[in-house]
Amino acid sequence: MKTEGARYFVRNIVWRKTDDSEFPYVAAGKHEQMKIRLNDFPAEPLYSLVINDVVLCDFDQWPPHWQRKAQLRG
Amino acid sequence: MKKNILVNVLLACLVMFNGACTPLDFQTPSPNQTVESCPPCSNPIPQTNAEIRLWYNNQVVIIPTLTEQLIHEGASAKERAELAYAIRHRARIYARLLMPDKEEVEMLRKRDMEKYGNLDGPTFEYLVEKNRQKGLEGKAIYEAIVESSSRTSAKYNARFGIKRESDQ
Repeated sequence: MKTEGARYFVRNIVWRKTDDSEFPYVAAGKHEQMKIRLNDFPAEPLYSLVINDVVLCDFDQWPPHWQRKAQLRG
Repeated sequence: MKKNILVNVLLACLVMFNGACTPLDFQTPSPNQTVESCPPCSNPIPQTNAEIRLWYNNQVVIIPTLTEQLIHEGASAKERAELAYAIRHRARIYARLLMPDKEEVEMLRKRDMEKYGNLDGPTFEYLVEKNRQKGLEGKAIYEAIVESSSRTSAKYNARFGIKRESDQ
């Protein structure tokens, strides 16, 4: 994990599942839009953390502080 | 027939020199295959996604050497492309078989289905057609597949108009 992403990895973030197979998780911060991009694993790292449409870092392991919530229906 | 023998010999070399847990016959795994059914070997099975990616890179890194060898053996561009594709594609499938989180595997398969129309990534025919649409013809199509089979994507972000922080 790169240092730019380190401060996000230790935060408690609740990610919401989306229908988008390329960007399967989103979360809203106070001043930022956060997305998880799913990459072409194993040729590429599994995930990228995207903050306000800028790729902050790539990573393979889902951070333990992050919670994945199922998609809301209806 | 001669080509099949040559390919098998090259794949056997891949297994011996690669130093990783590689399926011995290099056949496409069945849907019911599990990690436990992987042939036993002295190398540890990768456990984490990072280890699995390293394992995968160890599989595909040998593609340029193998395809170069095939040139000396008189193989056509199509034959070399088929071998390069087979190594990369099967390594992809086995890598996902090794992944501990099956929900992540399903996410990847969904992505591949939407992107390539196939749960396990692009087919050989897909790559041929993709290169044809780029304007390539004949031998150049297969040379492009050989070339792309041994590299990982460096221009991935451009697809989404996303810049890296270091680019700004």
